[in-house]
This record gives sequence, structure tokens and C-alpha cells, in this order.
Amino acid sequence: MKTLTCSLLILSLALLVSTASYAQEETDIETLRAADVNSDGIINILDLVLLASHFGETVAEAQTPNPDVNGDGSVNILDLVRVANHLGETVRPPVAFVSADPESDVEITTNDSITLTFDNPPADVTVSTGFAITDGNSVAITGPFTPGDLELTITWADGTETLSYTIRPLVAFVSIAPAIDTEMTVDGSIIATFDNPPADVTVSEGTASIDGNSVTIEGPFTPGALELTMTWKDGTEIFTYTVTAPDTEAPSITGGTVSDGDTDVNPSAAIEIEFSEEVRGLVTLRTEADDNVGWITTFDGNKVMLTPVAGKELDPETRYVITVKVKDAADNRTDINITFTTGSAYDGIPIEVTDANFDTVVIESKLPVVVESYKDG
Amino acid sequence: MKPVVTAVALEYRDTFTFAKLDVNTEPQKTGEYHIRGTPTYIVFRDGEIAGAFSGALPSNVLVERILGILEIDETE
Repeated sequence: MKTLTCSLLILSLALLVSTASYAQEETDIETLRAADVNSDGIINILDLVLLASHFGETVAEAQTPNPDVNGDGSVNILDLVRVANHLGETVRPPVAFVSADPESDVEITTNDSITLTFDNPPADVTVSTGFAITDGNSVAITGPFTPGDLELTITWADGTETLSYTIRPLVAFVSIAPAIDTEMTVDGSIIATFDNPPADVTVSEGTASIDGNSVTIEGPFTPGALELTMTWKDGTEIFTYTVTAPDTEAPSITGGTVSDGDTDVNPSAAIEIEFSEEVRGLVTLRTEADDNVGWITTFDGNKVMLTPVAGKELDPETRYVITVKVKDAADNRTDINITFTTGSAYDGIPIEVTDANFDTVVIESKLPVVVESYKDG
Repeated sequence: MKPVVTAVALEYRDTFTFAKLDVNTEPQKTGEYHIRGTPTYIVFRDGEIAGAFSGALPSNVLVERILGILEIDETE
């Protein structure tokens, strides 16, 4: 009997709706969704049939499908009329939030973006912070966000979602010392500076230690071309250097006006000692008794000059010792003595000069020298 | 050895050194100092040429020229 009654009602209503002219009025989405009893997205005869099958029943609020279209607790003619009023209308499905990337409760940077995914394209999206761009089922929320704790509320036509993040500053690389494409030693160190303290720093060679906004990368590095990759939480930088092998070679004497064992050395001439590399330290001219003669020592790159001082002339035919205690830039030391004997004092007999001894006899002489040219024979 | 030079060299050994350069056997220095005749006297002080002159001279003139170049007053 109930089925028959309902069927008659349905037919009547369907006929009524199909012939009557209704004023179109805006209907809220929730009303339409309630009229779409079977939730298939369209309000049609199937909804009426489903409703009719429960006609006269009292239904629970949460029943699914829910034939109590108007929510008054019972399925009756009012529900049938409401469905009939919207026959043929389609119903947009409710859009549900699916996920966020990155997910809530994680740390992101000021410049990161958050992508929200919905099960259908959301409408009327607004966000409490940042800027939202909707594209299909996705919404991209871009910053920049303010460092600190962020509670981000996203509201769309069908709902609201609140996500929480911790915002940290984006750490950018600022500078490196020494400059790239320069030379450095195997045991050298490199200091990288950032605008904020970096995290998760790794380097392809050496050892990295973080101190505030700086990262110190210490060797040993492999000699040769070095391509050092430094990665931190927010980026990667590549630095190139030439790593030089350690200097373990002590400076050696490669030349000069006096050599160890020399005799007949001009007692009034300055002494020059040439080394294999730039040196620093002590070079002194001493007597055999180890007294400092008092000549002036001058360092000039890889050369050392011992210059005579008035009143501190060398005695003729006497042994002297140049004590050499020098080191190079890498602190490699050379500690040697050069012993020589001075020549006889000038006795007033003209000295025969040659192309070979000209500088020693004439140029380096402390006394003025008069050179007389002559033609033998 | 000419007696003039020998005497001057000995007398003034504490003032200057006297040296002799054979232009036949030492062409490098002969060319370097543009020596075109003999005798030519080149006076060096502190490794630099202080002055030069040529010609055979009596000893007193030779000394005078050398001391003049060296700006030494013998009367001092």
C-alpha cells in the first residue's frame, strides 16, 4: 500500500514539476546535496524513488543515504516536494582536503611554498598567510613567510583546514675565503660565510665545522686541482682551488760572491749570498773566535747582503765565518756556516784586473780604484 | 810597469787602489767602458765611475787629476 501511495505521489510530483513553471531561485549547495539523496551528483527520479522507499519513516540524522531531505526527522511529503523542486539539477560534490606538501608540523623556510591537494577543484580559496594559486585540484601557497611559528588557515567553499609550520630563514651563501681559483696548501682552511647559520653542512673534501654564520673547512686536501662541493640545507656551492704540495725543502745557497772554503777574498768588498728561495732569519759575519764583525745584513727576497761598516774592516789573510740561520715561508730551516779567508792587504802594487775579477777588485772595492788601460807589447 | 804609475800607486795606496787592464786580453771590460786608447784612466768610487781621462801624464799631474776627480784636497 505504502509503495503504491508513494508511486502515485512520485508520479504526481514528477508531472507537476514537468508541467509547472517555477521561478528559479538561488539554492544553497547544502540544500541541493540533501535533495541528491543517492549522492550521484544529479537530482532525478532515482532520488524520489529512494526517498519513497523510506516514506513515513523516522530516520537518524546521520543515516546514509538520508531520505530526510529537509532534516525534520521524518520522511514525508515535504521531502518529496523539495526533491521534486530540484529535479534535473546537478549537484557539485563537496571538495575535501586531501594532503599538504610539505605536511603539517614540519620546518620550512621563508621562501618555501606549500602545495595543497584536494579531491576536486576547490572554490573560493583563501589563506591566512601568503598567496594562494589554485590549479585544478591543487592550491600552491607561496610566501615569503615570517620566521617563527606559522598557523596557516586555508578556507574554501566546502571547508577549512589549519596547518602548522615552523618557519626558519632561508640560509644563503655570502662569501668564501680564500677566493676561488687561488692556490692553497694541503693543510689550508677555507671559511664560507652565510647570511644565517647554516644547517646540515657537508663538504666533498676536508672537514666542515659550523660557528654561527661561518663554516670552516679544514684540510688535508689532495694536492692538485680541487673542486670542493659544499652542501647545506638550502643549497650547494662549488669552489675550485689549486692545492699545492707542502714545502718540506729547506732553502739552499745557490750562489753569491763568497763560497765556503774561498781564499783571497777581497776584505773590503760587500758579500752577497743567493738562496734557492726567499728567506728570513739571521746571517752574520763573525771572526773565527765567534765575535760578530758588525757588518750590516740586508735581506732582499732570495738574496742576503753583508755590507762593510767603516771601522769594522776585515783583516787581510784572516779566516772569517758567515753564520747562516735562515728559514723559508714554510719554516724549513737552513743552518750552515760559510768559512773564507781574506786576501792580502793592498800593498801599493797595481793589481792586474781581468774581465773575470773586475767586479771583485774594482766595483766592490771599498777604496776608490783607478783603472789604467794598457796595451801589452 | 811604468815607474810613474808604480810610484803613485805606492804613495797613495791608502787613498786609492791602482789597477791595470790589458785591452788586448780583456775585451769585455774594454768594450763596456768604451776604452779607445791607452793609457786611459777610469776612476771608480763606490763601484761607480767618478771620472776618466786619457794620455800619458807626469806623476804630479796624474795625481792631481785623480785627486781632483775624487775631490780630495791633498793639503788637508
